[in-house]
Order: sequence, then C-alpha cells, then structure tokens
Amino acid sequence: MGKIAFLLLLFIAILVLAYFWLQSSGVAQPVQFNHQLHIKKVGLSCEDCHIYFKTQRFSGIPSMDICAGCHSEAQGKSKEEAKVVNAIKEGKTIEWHRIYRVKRSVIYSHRLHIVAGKLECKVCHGDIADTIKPPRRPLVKISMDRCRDCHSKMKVSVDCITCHK
Amino acid sequence: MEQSRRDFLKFLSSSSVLAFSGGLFPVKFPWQDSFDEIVPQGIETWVPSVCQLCPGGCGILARVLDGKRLVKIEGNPLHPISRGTLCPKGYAGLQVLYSPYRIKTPLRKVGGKDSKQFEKIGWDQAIDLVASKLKSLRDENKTYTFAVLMGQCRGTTRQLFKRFLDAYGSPNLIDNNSYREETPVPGVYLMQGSPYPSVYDLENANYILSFGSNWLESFWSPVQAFRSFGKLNDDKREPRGRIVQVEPRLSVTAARSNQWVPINPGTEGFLALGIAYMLIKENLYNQDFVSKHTFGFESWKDPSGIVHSGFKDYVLNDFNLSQVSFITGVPIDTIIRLARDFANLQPAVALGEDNFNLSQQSTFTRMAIHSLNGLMGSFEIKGGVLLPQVPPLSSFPSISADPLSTEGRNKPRIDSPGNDKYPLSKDLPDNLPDNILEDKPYPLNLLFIYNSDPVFISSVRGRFIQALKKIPMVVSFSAFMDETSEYADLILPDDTYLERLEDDPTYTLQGFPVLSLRQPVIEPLYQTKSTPEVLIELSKKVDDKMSSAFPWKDHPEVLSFALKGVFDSGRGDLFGVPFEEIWTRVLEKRGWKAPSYKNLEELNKGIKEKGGWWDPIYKSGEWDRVFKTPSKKLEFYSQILKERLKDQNIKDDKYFLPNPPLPEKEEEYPLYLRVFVLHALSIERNLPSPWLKDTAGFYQKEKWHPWVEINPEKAKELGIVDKDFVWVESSKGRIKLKARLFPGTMPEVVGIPFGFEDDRKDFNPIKVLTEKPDPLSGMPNWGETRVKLYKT
Repeated sequence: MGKIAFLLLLFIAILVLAYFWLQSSGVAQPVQFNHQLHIKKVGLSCEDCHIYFKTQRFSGIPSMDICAGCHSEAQGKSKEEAKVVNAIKEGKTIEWHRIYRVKRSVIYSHRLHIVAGKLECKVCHGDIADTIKPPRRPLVKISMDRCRDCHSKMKVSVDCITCHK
Repeated sequence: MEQSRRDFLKFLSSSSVLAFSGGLFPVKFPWQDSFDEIVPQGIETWVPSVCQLCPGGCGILARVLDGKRLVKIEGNPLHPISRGTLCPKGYAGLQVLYSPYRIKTPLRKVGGKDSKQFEKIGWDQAIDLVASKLKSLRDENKTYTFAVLMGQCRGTTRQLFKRFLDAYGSPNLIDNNSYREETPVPGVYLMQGSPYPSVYDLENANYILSFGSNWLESFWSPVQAFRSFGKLNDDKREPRGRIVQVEPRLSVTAARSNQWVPINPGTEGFLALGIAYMLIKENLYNQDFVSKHTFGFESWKDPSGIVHSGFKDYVLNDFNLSQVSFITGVPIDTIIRLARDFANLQPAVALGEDNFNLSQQSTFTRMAIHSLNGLMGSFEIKGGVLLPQVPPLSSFPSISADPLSTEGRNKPRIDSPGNDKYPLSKDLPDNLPDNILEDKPYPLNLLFIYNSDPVFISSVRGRFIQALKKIPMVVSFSAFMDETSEYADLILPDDTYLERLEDDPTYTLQGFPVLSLRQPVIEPLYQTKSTPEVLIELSKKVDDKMSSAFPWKDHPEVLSFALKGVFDSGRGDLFGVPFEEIWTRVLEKRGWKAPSYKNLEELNKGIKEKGGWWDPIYKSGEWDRVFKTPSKKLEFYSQILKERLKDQNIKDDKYFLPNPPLPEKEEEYPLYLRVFVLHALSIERNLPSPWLKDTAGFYQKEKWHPWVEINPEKAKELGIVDKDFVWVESSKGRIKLKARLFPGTMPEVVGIPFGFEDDRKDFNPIKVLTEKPDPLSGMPNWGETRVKLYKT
C-alpha cells in the first residue's frame, strides 16, 4: 500500500513539475498584446510599430511613443489596454521581452532579408498576425537547417561566412 | 566515513532533482553577460571613410550605432582601391580607436627632460605654450631653428604643414619616409628621373619577377596586391599569371609564387644583370622600345670625342652566366629559363619595390632590377610600369612676402640632405640626431613630430633619444603614448583616423588618381584635436603675417578650397559601381565630360556620401611626363647621377651604370640578417591592436613576440634546438629572441620579423641593425647587417 501511495505521489509530483516546467519556459510578456486586433481589425501594418526592419538589422520593439500614438487615451475597455494607458500616463516603459533570438555567432539582418530578399515576415515569424496574445516561444523554430534550406532554395550563398562572422 | 548503497542512491536522486529544478528556475550567474550586453544594439549608420593604417588608402564603411559607437569596419564596395574588401589591419581599426593607450588630453612633461611623468593641461594652455615658443623664436630671428619630423601624411594636411613652415620661415620639413612604401626608389629615380614613385600594374601582367619584394605580405597597398594575386590566378584568365620570387628566405610571397628562386643574400642585382645578359645575348629584348625610349644602351661617343661604354657592352663583358651563377648561387639553367620566360610571357614586370626591402637593397641593385623593365619595354603599357596621375586639388595661394620668413627659409636644412656624402637624398632623418647633438649647422630649438615614431623605427634610436632630450621643446602630435612621445615635452594629441576630417589623395595600381575623403565616423572620444586644426589655430596666435597665410577658418574650409580644383578640372567622377566606371571611361575617351555632379556643392555632398572621387583613365605614352631625365628617355646610363657627382670627377662609366656592390664577408659576424615585415604589423608605427599581434606569425605559430628563423642545419651546427632562446649579436648590439628552425631560410641567413612593440624588452631588431646607410641615397641599408648567434 505504502509503495503504491509513494509511486502515486511521485507521479503527481512529476506532473506538477512538468506543468511548472512548461509554464516557466518561454517568455511571458508584461501585456497580453493582441496582434490580430491591431492588424486585422484596426488595419495597421507590421511597419507601423516595428519601424526598423526595412532599414536596420533588427525590426525594433515598439517604443512607448508609438503606443502613445493611439493609447494616450483608452480606446476600449480591455484590462490589458489599461496597463498600456497607465504606463503612458505615468511615463513608465513597458519592458517587452524578445522571444526570437539567433545564436551569438550569427549575424542576421532584417533589412537584407526583407528589402533585398523580399521575404514576408511570416516566413520566420509564422502566423503572428493571427495571435490574440503574445506567444511564449517562437511560432517558427529558427534552426540552422531551416536557414540553409531556404538559402539553398533561394540560391543564396550557404558559405559559413555568409551568416557567421 | 562509510557509504551504503542507499546513501549513494539518495545522493543520486537528490542531485538529479536539484539539476532538474535548476532548469526550472534558471539562475543568471554574475559572469554570464546577457545577449544584449555583448551585442550592442542601436540605430546603425554606415559612414564612408578611409583607412590610415598603411599607405594603401582603402575605402572603409564604418558601422556606427546611434551615431556614437563604432562596432565594425568593412570595405567600401564603391571604393576603387578596396572594392568592398579590406585586409586584417583595416578591420583592426576598431582596436586603434578604443585603445587604452590613447592620449586623452594635452599633456605637459613634469620633472625635467629625464622624467617620464606628464600632467594634464587644457587645450588653450597647450596651444598658448607652443604659440609663445614660436613667437619668441620669431622675435629672436631664429625661425629656422624650428623643424617638423613627419611620417605618413598626404593631401592638404601635408600642404598645411609645408605652408606653416614656409610662412614661419623654416626649411625644415623632414620626411621620416625612408621606411615608407610610397617613397620614390632612388634606383628607379636615377633611371626615370621622376620625383614620384611608379606603380606596377600587377593584375594585368603575365609574368611577375620579384626580387625580394614581399608584395603578397607587406606591400604599400596590400588589398590591391591581394586582389591582383586573385586575378592572376583566376582560372578564366588566359594565360594565368606567373609569379616568380627571388629571395634568400621562403617568405609568404615566395610560398605563394609559382617558383621560388633562393639566392645568396645581397646578390639580387647580379641575377638581374645575368638575366639582362641572356636577353641581350639571345636578342630577346624589345629592340623597338630600347632604340626609341632609352639612353645609354649602346656605347656612344660624346661631343668631346670620348667613347662611353653602354649598358649592352657592360653587361656582355662583365656578367656572363657562369660568373653570375657563382655569385648568386642560382644555377645557370634557372637563369636561362627566367630570362626566356621574362621575354616570352609579355607583359612582364621586374619588381623590386616593397617596404623594408627598400632598405635591404642598394640603389644600384634596384637600378639593375629596373633595367629589365627597360629591356622589355614594360613602360606605359597595360600590365607594365606606370607613373600614376595625382588628383587635381587646387594649389594654395602664394604667401605674401615677409623678409623674416624668406631669410629663415633660405637657411640650410638641419638634416642636410643632398650633401656630397649622400647626393641622392631628399630627406635624411637618420642624420638628424647627430646634427642636433653637434649643433650642426645650428642648434634646434623646437621640433614637431607628426605621425612618426623614430625611437621605435630608426636604427639610430639611441642617439635620437639623446637628441630629443637636448632640444629645448619637443611637441608630439601622437594619438598614442608611443616610444617617441615619452620623450616629448608637450603632447597635443591628434584624433585617430576614425575621428578626423581629411582628404587622402592616392592612386590605383593602374595609375588612376583617387581622392578619398576621410570623415569622422564618430565624434572624438576624448579631448583630442585634429592636427591641421591646431596648425590653423597656432598660425592665428603667432602674428598677423602668419595669420594672413592661413585665411581659412578651419580645416573643412581648406578642403572645400582644395576640392574646387577637382571640380574645375571637369575630369573623373564620384566613386561608383563598375558599370559607372566603364561609362565614365567611354565618355572621357571620346572627349566628353559628364560627371554626376553639376556644381561644387553637389561634388562636396557626393564625396561625403560615396567616399570620394576618381578618374578611371590612364593616358599612356606621355613620355615627357614619365621620363624626366636629361635625355627624356629611360637611362641605363644615369646622367642624373653623373650631374650630381660632377665635382668628384669620376671617369669610370661603370659608376653610372647599374653596378651592384658585392656583399662583403665578415669573419666575426658570419650570418646575414634579413628583417621581414609581417602583414599584421604596421611598419611605421606601433599599432596597439591585440587582434593583429595574435595573427602575426601564422606560419611559424608564433605571435605576440618576435622570433629568429634559422636553418635547421645551421642550428645543429651551432648547437641550437627549436624554441631555444638565443642572442642575436651584431657589431652594434644584441637582442634575445626565441629561435625557430625554419627550412625555408638559407643556411647563412637568419630572419627576424619587424614591428612588434618594444615594450621595454630586448627584442626590437633596431638594436642590432646596421647604421651604415646606402652610399648614394642615405637611406638605411639594413641588408648589410651581419650577425652571429649563440645560446643564452
């Protein structure tokens, strides 16, 4: 009996730990931003908030000024929006967390891929435009195989030095 | 303590739970940097500018974040010299900018001449100190006791220095350029008469016969040399270029050549004349060119009826193959093969130019090598020897007459160049310390040192230090605390090349003039000031006459003034993609001029955006420009030398023909020392870059510290094993180095790399290099150094 109870407890403990593991991995954002609402309903484009992807290596996490363009006053009744409005009023910055990262050894340029390579955002970012809350981890797993496949398909160099500098 | 099986299992399970929970609650250890801290983020801009870590003049693009942090330097794809690439030195510019050895404010020496202590002072005070010294010398009518010792410096900066001295009244602008790659080589000067250096169109030549020129490692423009090497070996090229390296040491160039010809040190000139013998004997030389454009090939009778021996008779009589082979150690059949290839694989060039090899070959050796180009007519042709054109910058207005400065300017120079001892010299920096110490011809009161580090690079460094201690005021403009700056009384730190606005005129190996703009990629990091600005400021403080010679507000205004000349010439265009280059060429060849700018403002703006201006056209066949000798031809028999030495009344014609000296044997010091320059280490200055020091001796797996290369057999004879520390001793001194056995060194030769920082240790080869200069040019002739080796 004692043995069964011990095994059961162990099993429950494992389940609990697994739940916590799943919950804690990935990145939680301070505000549950709704991409779908902003893009599909309001009609914004990616570039309206991520202003750098055509000119810089990075696409840029939106600054508070960009949010304040619309949300200096509340637009609806959402609790999440209220967080943004309050932050703007108090002059605070919302600390968004990056979820897409490449290895340190890789130099990735948004400008090259979007302007020269004419790729769409969803090639790497998946259906981010359809999400109603921020994903905890990348929708598309960026691996070297994936980069290489695409480079080969698009007839771009797959020499090491193309990405690793 | 005993451990049961149960304890072990407990330990195992608890440790696995700990490990698992560690994954659950990730801990950031203090030594782990976050990603964003390592890779700085910010809005990037790419600023075009020009590298200044060697005289190559490569265009760079600097990646700057938020306008204040430089994170990467790359080649400018539009720049005709670098075409988007750079050498390792160029990339290491980052470490020059952010070096901890930078001087951050003006400094004044405290505690007398022997002290090495400095105190920080403000710019106004520093400039006042120099200005008051300049003023007092001018009041005492001793303007000529002021001198400038200058290193690598071009364009308007050089002109401003010259103008400063002219207006002030001193003849003493001393180029410390014996070590510079772009100096006109005396041997070439004797034959061509042009005061400007020639270039060799390497990428279009089919045969490159290099006599000790380490052009694939330490050329004056490494990126152009590397690109030429790539093009010569392109499998689509018909025929592929052939490279032959004649040298006593298997250098990087020799290792990459199609053939390495080991030769007894110092006998390169004899081999060149041996090849000339074959070319003449087998009638392989370009008879058309020789008859039309050369002087002194055949023997001739002068107006007074004296018969002079020409090059042909001289070579046929004195340089038969068995004799040449005996002297040089090169087999006769190799000499025959080299001569036939040189004649058949046209266009071919004989290359003797390099940086340090410049100081390892005598004037006559260089003349012998250049005579091969003359025999084959490799002048003014694609793949031959060209005389580059210079960008048409406007010249400064003349200085209003001032009796005081005119008197000072007409005094003899303190380094006494062009004297009877060294008739071909233009500057004699190595003569400077002796003259200063002996007050000959007058005592020196004020010395400016710009972009030069004589204590690091001069073979008379000991006396240089004494001289610096003797001069009442030494002002250094160095951006770094280098060996010479330690002996300065005042340091007015210059910006580094990445913080400065400057023009940089140069040329490509095809002879096209290139004017690049060096613009500040970030604001100066410290309280430093660009030296041209300091000169303009000083001129305004000395007196009204000086001030009137500098009518410009600042250096940018000087640049705009100089650029007007480029605009008015109507030639060339801004840097562009290769198609634009071809288009400009097509138009110009047909007499059209259509630069992409319409007025001076557009030219100014375009140069800032694209990096510079150039004129991709070379007008061949301007013989009057190329040969400035008395005969207006290439002279095998140098009339320039005869004119310079007329007082000595030399009757022997051989003295005016290429007559390389035979190396003398020395009993006490039996080994020849060859100093070679690694690509990673700059030659004129000590570069504060760990990246470069870390890549220095790639083939020898040695870095950070220099070593001495010895032939394994010789080492065995001397009882030296690999990695032993040995003393390298010459009649001048000795240095301690690590011995590396290297089969690519001939048995009677030892090699030492040059350019490692001194670091107050005993390994700067300067300490053993001979002080005996080349008899004609007064340039250091380090190839003459003999040493002996013994274990420590």
